[in-house]
Amino acid sequence: MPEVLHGDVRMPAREARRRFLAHRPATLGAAFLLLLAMVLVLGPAFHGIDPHVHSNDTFQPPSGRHPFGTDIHGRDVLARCIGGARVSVLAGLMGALLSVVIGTAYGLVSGYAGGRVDALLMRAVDLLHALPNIIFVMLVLGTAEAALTRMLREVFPGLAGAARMVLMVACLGAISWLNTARIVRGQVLALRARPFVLASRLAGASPFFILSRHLLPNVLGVVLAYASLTVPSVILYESFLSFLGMGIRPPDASLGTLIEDGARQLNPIEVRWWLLVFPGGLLAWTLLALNAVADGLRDALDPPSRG
Amino acid sequence: MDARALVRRILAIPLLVWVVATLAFFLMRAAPGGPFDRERAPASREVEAALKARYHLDEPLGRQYVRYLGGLARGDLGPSLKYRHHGVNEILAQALPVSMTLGWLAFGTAMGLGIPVGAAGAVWRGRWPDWLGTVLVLAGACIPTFVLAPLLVLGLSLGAGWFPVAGWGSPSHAILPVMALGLYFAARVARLMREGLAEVLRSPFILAARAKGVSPGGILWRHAMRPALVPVVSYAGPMLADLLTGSFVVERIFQVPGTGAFFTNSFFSRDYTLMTGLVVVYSFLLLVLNLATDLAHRWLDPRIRHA
Repeated sequence: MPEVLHGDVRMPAREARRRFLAHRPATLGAAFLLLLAMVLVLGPAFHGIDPHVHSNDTFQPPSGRHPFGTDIHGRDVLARCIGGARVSVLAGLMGALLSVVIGTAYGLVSGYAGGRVDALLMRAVDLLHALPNIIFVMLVLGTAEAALTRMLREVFPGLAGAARMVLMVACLGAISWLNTARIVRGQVLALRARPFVLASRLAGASPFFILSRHLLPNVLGVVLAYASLTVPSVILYESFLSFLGMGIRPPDASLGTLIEDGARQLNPIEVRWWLLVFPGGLLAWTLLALNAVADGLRDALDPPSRG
Repeated sequence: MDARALVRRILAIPLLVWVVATLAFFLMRAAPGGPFDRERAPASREVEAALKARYHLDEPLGRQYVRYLGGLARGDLGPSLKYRHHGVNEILAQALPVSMTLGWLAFGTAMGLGIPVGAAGAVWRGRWPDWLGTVLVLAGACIPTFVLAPLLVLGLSLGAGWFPVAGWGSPSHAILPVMALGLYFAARVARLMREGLAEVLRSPFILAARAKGVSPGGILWRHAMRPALVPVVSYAGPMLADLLTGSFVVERIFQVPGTGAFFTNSFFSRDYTLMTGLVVVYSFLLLVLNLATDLAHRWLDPRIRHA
C-alpha cells in the first residue's frame, strides 16, 4: 500500500485508544479494576479461607492471619469481602449488559421508526422515568421470587439457588435502560438522515439490515460509553437493596450485605471498625475506578459530548 | 408550555397516580403470604376470617380494588393492616413531616454547598477551588449513603463524641443524618453547576457582555448565573421528591421516625394499604415536583419560554 494512502486513513479505534490512554484517571482506574479482577478470580485460591466457615475467633481485629479481621461468627472478613465483591461486580456487569441490550434495541427502533411510533415510545420512556422504579423492584423481588425459584428448579436446577440474584439482576437491568435508549435514539435520528442510509434503502435493504449492519455499528461507541456508566450504578442499586435486606440474603453476601453487618455492629461499647471500613472502602474504590474508566471511555468514544 | 399544555400536564398527574396505585395494588396482592400471617397469638381460622371480613379482604379482588380507588378519590388511603388502630393517613401525618424536615434540611445542604462549590470550580478552573470541588464530587459519587452514614457515626459520634449516635428531636440529632443525606446530592449539584457555568461562560453573549465593559462580578451575577442554574434546577425537582419522601438508609441508620422504615416494614408485613399509600404519595410528590421543575425552567431560560 502506498505510503500516502497509509497516512490518510483515519483509524477511529486507534484514536480512541490513544485518547483513553491519555486520560490518566481512566488508566489508573483500569489498572485498579484489572487488579481487582485478578483478586476476585484468583483470590480465594491464594487466601485459602472459606468465607462461610464459622470459628471461635469472633470479632478479631485485623492481624496477619485475618488481614481484615473476623466477624460475629468468626468468619474471615477478607474472604467474605472477596466473595461479596464477586457477587456485586457480577450483578453490576450482568445488569448493565441487560440494560444496554434493552436500551439499544429500544433506541434503535424508536429513532429509526420516527414519527408517531417514536413519539409514543419516547412518551413511554418519560412515563417510566416518572415512576418510583426502585420501589417497584422491591415489590417485584418480593412477589416473584418463589415462583421463579419453582420455575428454575424445573428448567435449570443448577440455578435454583440463585433465583434471587437472577431476579434482582433482571429487575435492575429492566429499570436502568432509559438513558441508554434516549441517547441511542438521538444518535439514530441524526444518522438516519445521512446519505449512506438513504443509499442502502434505495439499494433495497430491509429495515432490519439497516439497523443491524449500518446503524448499530455506528452507535456502538456511545453505547459502550454509557454501558460503562451503568455498571457502577447497577452495583450501587444492588448494594443498596442488599443493605436493606431486600437483595442478596444470608448466608450469601454481597458488599451491601457486608456493610449492613458492619453498620449493625456499631455500638458505643466496642468499636469494630474493620467490619465497616473494609467492605465500605472496597465498594467506594471500585465505584471510583469504574466511574474514572467510564469518564475516560466517554472522552475516547464520544468526544463531541464534551464542550 | 402554553396554558393548554399546562392544563394537560396537570390533568395527567391523577392519571399517572392511578397507574401507579393500580400497579402497586396488584403487585402487593400477588406477593406470597398475607397481612395476618404473623399474628401474635396463633390465630384460629375464625379470627383470621373475622379480620379479613373487617378489612374487606374476603371480597373478590376486583371489588377490593374499586373500594380502594373510591377511598383514594376521597383522599382516604384506608386503614393500616398492621398498625390496627391507625389509618394510613394518620401514620403518614405523623411520619411524613419528620421525613420532610430531614429532606428539606438535606436539600438546603445540597444546594447551599453544591452551588457555590460548583460555581467556584467553574470560575477558578484548575485552581484550588476546582480541586476542592472535584474531591467533593468524587466523594459523593463513590461513597454511597449507606457507607457514609455508618462511617460518620463511627468517626464523629463514637470516635469524637460530638454528636448523638441516633435518634431525632434536637438539632444535634439532625446534623449527621443531614450530612449523610446531603453530601451525595451536593456532589451531583456541584458537578452540574460546574459544567453548566463553565459552558455558559464560554458562550458568545458573555464575550459580548465583556466587550461592552461589564465587570467580572456583573457578568457572573447578572448574566451567567441564571442560565447556568438550568441543569441544577432540572435535577433539583426529582432530588427534592427523593429527599422529602424519606431515605430508607439514613432513617434506618439514625433511627429517625420517618416514612423510610414504614416502606420496608409494610412490605415485609404485607401491609397492603400502607405500602400502596406510601407509593401513591411518593409518586404524587414526584409528579408535582417534575411539573414545578418544568415551570422553573421556563422562568430561568428564555429560550424555552419563547420556543
